[in-house]
Amino acid sequence: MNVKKLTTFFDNNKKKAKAKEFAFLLCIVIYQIVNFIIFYVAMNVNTVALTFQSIDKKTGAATWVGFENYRKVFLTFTESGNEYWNALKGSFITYAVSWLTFPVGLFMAFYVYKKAFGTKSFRFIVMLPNILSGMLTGLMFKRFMYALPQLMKGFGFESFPQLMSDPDWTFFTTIYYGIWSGFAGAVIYYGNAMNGIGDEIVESAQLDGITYLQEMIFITIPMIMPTIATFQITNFAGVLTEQGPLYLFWQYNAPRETYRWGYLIFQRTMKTGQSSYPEVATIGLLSTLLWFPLTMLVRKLFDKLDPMTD
Amino acid sequence: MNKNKIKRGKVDIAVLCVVGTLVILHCVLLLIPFIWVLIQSFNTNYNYMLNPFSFPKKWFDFSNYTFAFKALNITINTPARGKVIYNIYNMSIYSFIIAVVLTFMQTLASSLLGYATGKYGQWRLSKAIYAVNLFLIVFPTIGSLPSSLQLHRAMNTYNNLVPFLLVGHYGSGMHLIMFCGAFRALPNDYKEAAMMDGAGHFTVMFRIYYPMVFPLVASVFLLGFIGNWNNYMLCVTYLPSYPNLAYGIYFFQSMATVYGYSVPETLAGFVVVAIPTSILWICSQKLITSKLTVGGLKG
Repeated sequence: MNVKKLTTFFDNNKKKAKAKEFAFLLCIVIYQIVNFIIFYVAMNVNTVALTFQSIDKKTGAATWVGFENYRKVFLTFTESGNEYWNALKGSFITYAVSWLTFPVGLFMAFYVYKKAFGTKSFRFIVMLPNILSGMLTGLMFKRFMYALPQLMKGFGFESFPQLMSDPDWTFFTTIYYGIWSGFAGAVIYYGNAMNGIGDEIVESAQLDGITYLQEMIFITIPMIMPTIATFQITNFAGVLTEQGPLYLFWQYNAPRETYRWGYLIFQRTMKTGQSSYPEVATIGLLSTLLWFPLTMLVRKLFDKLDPMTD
Repeated sequence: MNKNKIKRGKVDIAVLCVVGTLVILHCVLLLIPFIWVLIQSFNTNYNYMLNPFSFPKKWFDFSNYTFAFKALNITINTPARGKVIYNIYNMSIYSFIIAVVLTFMQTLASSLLGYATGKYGQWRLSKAIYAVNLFLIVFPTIGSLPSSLQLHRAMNTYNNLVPFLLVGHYGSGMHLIMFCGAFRALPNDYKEAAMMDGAGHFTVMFRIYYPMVFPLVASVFLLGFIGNWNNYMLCVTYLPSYPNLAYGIYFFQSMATVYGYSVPETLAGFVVVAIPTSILWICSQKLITSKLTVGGLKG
C-alpha cells in the first residue's frame, strides 16, 4: 500500500510538473498566438469578405455585390494594354533577372569566403544600401541618375538618355537599381553559410587537387543548399508582393512601363482610397491562389535538389 | 587553412581575377553615387547648376548642412490637430521610439517562440507553431493591405503611435528559425541542473539560456533597429502623423523645388539623415554580419 501511495505521489508530481511546463509554454506564446489570430487569420478572412463587397467612395458604406468584383477583374484582364498585364510582366521580368544575377552573388560570396583581396572593404561597401536606408539610397541614386546625362556629355555622349524619365529606359533603370543595391543579402548570408563548411572537407579536397570552380560546384553549393533553397523559395514567394523602387522614385505616379504587381496593389490602395479596397482584395486573393501552389512546387523542386535528403 | 601549402593553378587564379574584377566593378558602381552626393553636398548651387559633377571651390564648408538641419521639417495635415510642422528633432524622436519599441517587440516575440519551439519541441503546440511558421514563410499573402488598414482603423491603432507599435507581432519568419536552432543547440543539462536547485521555467529561460544566445539576440536587435529606423513605408502606410527621419527626408526632397532648396542643400540633408545609422553600423558590423546564418525551410 505504501508503494501504491508513493507511485500516486510521484504520478501527481509528474502531472503537476507537466501542467506547470505547459502553463509556462502557453504564457510565452499566448501574445503571439492572439496577434496571429487577429492580424493574420482575421485579416485574411476580411480580405476574402472584401472581395464580395463594394465600398461607397463618399460614405464608406459597404454593400454586398456577390461576384461583381471578380467579373470586373476578369474583364480588365481581357482589355488590351491593361495595367494588370503590364504589372505582371514587370514582376516576372524582375524575377527572371534575379536568377541571372544569382550566380554572380554566389561567386561574390565565394570570393569573400576565400578571404581574397579586399574582402573586408567589399563586405562593408556592399552593405551600404542597407545601412543608409532604402529611402536614402533610392533618393541618392535618383539624384545621381538625373545628373548623369551631364556627366556623359563630358565623355562625348551628347544624346545620353534621361534614365529616370525616358519611357524606353525607366524600366531598365528600376531593374538596374535592384541589382545595384541587392547583392548584400547574397554576400552576407551565403558567405556565412559557406563559413560553416568544415575546413577538413575543403583541405582534403584541395590535397586531391580540386580547383576553386570544382570546389564551388561539388562541395560549396551542395553544402549550402539549405540556405540557397530558403532564399530562392522566399524570393519566389515574394514575386507578386515586391514593389521595386517605384514609390521611392515616383511616389504614386510611376510610369506604367515600370509597374510591378506589388506596386500596383499598393498604389491602388493608397492613392484611390477605400473605394478601391474590394478590387485590390480581389486581385490580391486571385494572385495568392495562383502563386501559392507554384511556390509549393518550387519548394518541392528544391527538396529534390538538396542532397541532404538523399 | 594554410594557403602557402597548396599551389593554386592558372584556372584558380583566372577565376579569382574574374570574380575580383566583378567585385571591384560592383564596389566602384556602388560607391560613385554616394561619393557624388558627399562631394556635391559641399558645393554651391551656382557651381552645381553649371556642372553637377564639379568639385566645390571651398571644401568642408558646412553652410549647406546648417541650412538642411534647420530646413529639414515637413508639414502634415493630421485629422486630429490640423496642420502640424515636424522638425528634425520631432522626426528623430519618432524614429527612435519606432525603432526601439518595434524592434524590441519583434525580437521578443520571435525569440520567445524560438525558445518555445527549441526547448519545448516535444509539445504539440510547439510543433504546430513551427509548422505554421514554415507555412507562413512560403505562403504569399498578396493584396492584404486594404484589409490590414481596415483592421487597424477598427482597432484604433491606425495613426496611433504606441498602440500600433505594441500590436501585430506574431514572431514568425526567419528569426524564429534562427532562434529555434540556437536554443535547440544548447544542452538541456543546464535546465535540469537549475530545476533540481529549485529554479522555475522563467528563471531558466531568462537567467540561463537567454544570456547564452545574447550575441544572436543582440545582432537580431541591432539589424532590426537599423531596419526600423529606416522604415519609411510604415509611416507612409500606418503612421502618417508620426513621420520618422526616413519619411521626413522623402518629403523634404520632394518639396525642395516648391520651397526653393538647392540640390546641394538637399543632398546635405541626405547626409545628415544618414549619419546615425552609419555610426551604429560601423560600431556593430562584425557582430551583425557574423551571426546571420539561415538555412532549412524544411525544418
